Amino acid sequence: MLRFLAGKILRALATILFVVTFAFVVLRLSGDPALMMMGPEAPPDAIAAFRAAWGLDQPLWRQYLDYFGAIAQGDLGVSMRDRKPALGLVLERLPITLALMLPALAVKLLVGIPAGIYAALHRDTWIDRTTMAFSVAGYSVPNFVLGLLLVLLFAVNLRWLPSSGAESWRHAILPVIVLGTAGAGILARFTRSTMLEVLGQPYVRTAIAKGVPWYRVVNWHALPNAAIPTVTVVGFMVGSLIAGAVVTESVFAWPGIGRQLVLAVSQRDVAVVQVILLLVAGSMVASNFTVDLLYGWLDPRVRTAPKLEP
Amino acid sequence: MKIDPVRRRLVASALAAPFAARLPHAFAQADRRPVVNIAVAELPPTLEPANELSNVGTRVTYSIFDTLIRRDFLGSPDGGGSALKPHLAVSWERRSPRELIVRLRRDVKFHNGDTLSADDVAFTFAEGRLWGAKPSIAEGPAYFGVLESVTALDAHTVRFVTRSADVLLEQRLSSWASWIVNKRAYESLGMDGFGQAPVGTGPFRVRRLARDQIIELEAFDEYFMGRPTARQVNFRAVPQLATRLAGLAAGEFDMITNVPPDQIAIINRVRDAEARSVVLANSHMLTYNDKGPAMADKRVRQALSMAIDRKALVDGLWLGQAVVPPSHNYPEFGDMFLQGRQLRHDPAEARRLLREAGYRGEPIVYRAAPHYYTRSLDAGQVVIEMWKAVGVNASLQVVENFTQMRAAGAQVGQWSNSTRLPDPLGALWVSWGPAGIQQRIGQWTNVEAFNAAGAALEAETDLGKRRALFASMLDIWEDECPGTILYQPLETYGVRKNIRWRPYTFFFMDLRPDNLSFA
Repeated sequence: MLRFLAGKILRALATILFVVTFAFVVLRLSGDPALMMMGPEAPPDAIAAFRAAWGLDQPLWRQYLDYFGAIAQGDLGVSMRDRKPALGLVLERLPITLALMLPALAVKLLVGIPAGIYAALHRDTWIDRTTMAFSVAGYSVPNFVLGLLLVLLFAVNLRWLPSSGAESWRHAILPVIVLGTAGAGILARFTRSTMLEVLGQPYVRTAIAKGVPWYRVVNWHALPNAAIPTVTVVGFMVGSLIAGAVVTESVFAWPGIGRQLVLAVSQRDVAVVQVILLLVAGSMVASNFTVDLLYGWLDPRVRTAPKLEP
Repeated sequence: MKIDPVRRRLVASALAAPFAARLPHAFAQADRRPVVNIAVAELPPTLEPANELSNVGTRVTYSIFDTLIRRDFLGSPDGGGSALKPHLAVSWERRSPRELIVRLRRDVKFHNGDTLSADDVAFTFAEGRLWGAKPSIAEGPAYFGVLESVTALDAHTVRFVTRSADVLLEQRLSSWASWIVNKRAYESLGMDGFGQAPVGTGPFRVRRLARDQIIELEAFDEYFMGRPTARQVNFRAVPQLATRLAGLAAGEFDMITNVPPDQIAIINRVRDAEARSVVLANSHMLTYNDKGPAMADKRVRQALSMAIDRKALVDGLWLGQAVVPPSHNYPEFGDMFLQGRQLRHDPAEARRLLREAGYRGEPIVYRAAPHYYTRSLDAGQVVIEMWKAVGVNASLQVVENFTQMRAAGAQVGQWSNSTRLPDPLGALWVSWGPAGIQQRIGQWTNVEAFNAAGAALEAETDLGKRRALFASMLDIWEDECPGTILYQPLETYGVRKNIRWRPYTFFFMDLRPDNLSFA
């Protein structure tokens, strides 16, 4: 078990190191932060002074070493735009983003999974087809299109809800619907197909032949076995909680991490981008790690499976 | 049951507390002035007025701070007036070409209750802040590098001395980076702290600043120009144009900014809103690198400029409402404006110049960053076709940013030039002189004659000689052709019809009592 954990942790650290290095190199090679911050009309002296002040006049390898040296001491850098510690700036936005993403995740789970199960249990009926039609529509319509349609209907025409902002729970309704719709659509379709696969397995047929009540066949035999692929998808959704709403946050002017990331990338506010990527990579890695552990809990064969000899 | 009198008072106080807490709110509700909600694409990270000279920054800080001298933008019908009038300064007087004495009003209060004094002015223009070897405001020297000293002569008199004769000093004091800050607050908070809790003399003071979300300003009723007409102004960050438009149509916003021309008709269809446009004191430009194959010959560069039908661009992309200026020469220059000049469109002459230069179809690549300037990519595509029509082997290359645009191999790029001060020194010279980026990155190299004329213009105070020097600079710039002007773009706002407000040719949003009222 210890070796299993150590291996996972080492791989997680390597992933995070790769992500941060990649972002560091790409951000610095694709545009001069000084020019981005000060604009193309800024006096060259001012640009040179900015570059010197932020160490951008140093060779790239030197900047890279300085950056990782600082990380080792717990310093994740300072935002060039705000002149404040980047970690603090990003953490300020975390609750705002989670205020959108956690309800959206709840919508995905509470709508998507039951809809998928229900459709599978009514295979090839009008219920199944209607559910799948909504599911396909849900994940096919891009977030910005659905967002704008909802704004047009509920904010402009009916004037029931605000079109943008984050001042109250009412402001969260439309973006949560947008985020939840796509995820629920994916989960419904995924859950349906895995349920159908499981329902066709011999052990389910055996249970039915033994006269086990239908609800127990579904709840005790089918659902746990169908859960593994679904948990994988849910794991990705949980991992993308931090920066998974870039488009939706922009459409609804929701001041979360997604919008912060867009701004920071466009202005090459390197420290902020790197902190966000660290958080995203960290949450994705943690989520995958949890999913791996859940596999073992849901299906003991995963823990005890013998290694294949070459 | 008998209740102790002290306890009774405590219970009564506790019961009354929620209502007592609401009292200020109740009084606020008695203030019948409206709250104005303005949706903008982006909010500035700091409100330190000289440290946030971007369009997003000055749009907000213009209502928090004042300048000593006020440029009367609204004195001209197009919102680009350049006459100067007293503001925080009651008067000013030239003692010599290098020395200006400014006398301050005595009734001006800062938002923290302090009275404006000469010390605040001297602090605002201090060497360590705006000029000198290492000023805290990096862009400060671009505007005030001419200063030699700023001294408070008494509580309400300040002396400005420049290193050489500077005919533009009064204009400088009415423009970029010259907003007066409160010395006491600035010194106690530091530059960064002041940027989050700024203290100025303007019609509105900061109530709340939520990063990338909202900046709430409340009326400063002791404002020296009179009580502001709005109780509160909220600048809300709404990055998506469609959402800003929806908010205007839904009645959530009273004004929206950054509206492209193709949305003007849509706004005008909203029942109680309308589009209000202004031609900016800014020109969209093309830059030419005077090195490399083909482009090194100035006749090729001249041909590229002559092949551009600017009127077609204005009509096709800007509903005919953008303006083609008479070269790098703008009416707001006042006495320095040169009549009778124009940007030529002559495809036949362009073909002749190309033949004469021996142009043999070498590729000419136009690099464009699509999202920086409104409609720039559309303009690029049209210009490419115009160049092809005269025989140029032209193509468009989309790049992400200005670093990539100016990287090795650059031939044609996009840019814009703002008229920062209403004089050639604040426009052509700032952008194309030795301090300008094109000379600094070596894309324009044959500059001796231009630089000599510009340096002479800087030191000259006689109007006739200044005009002659400007004409000479313009001739050289057009002949050398290190770039060309496309047009002056349009800035459009969506505004509720009951709001009387006029936009400026800069991005400043003037919400002072004389430019904001309600029907």
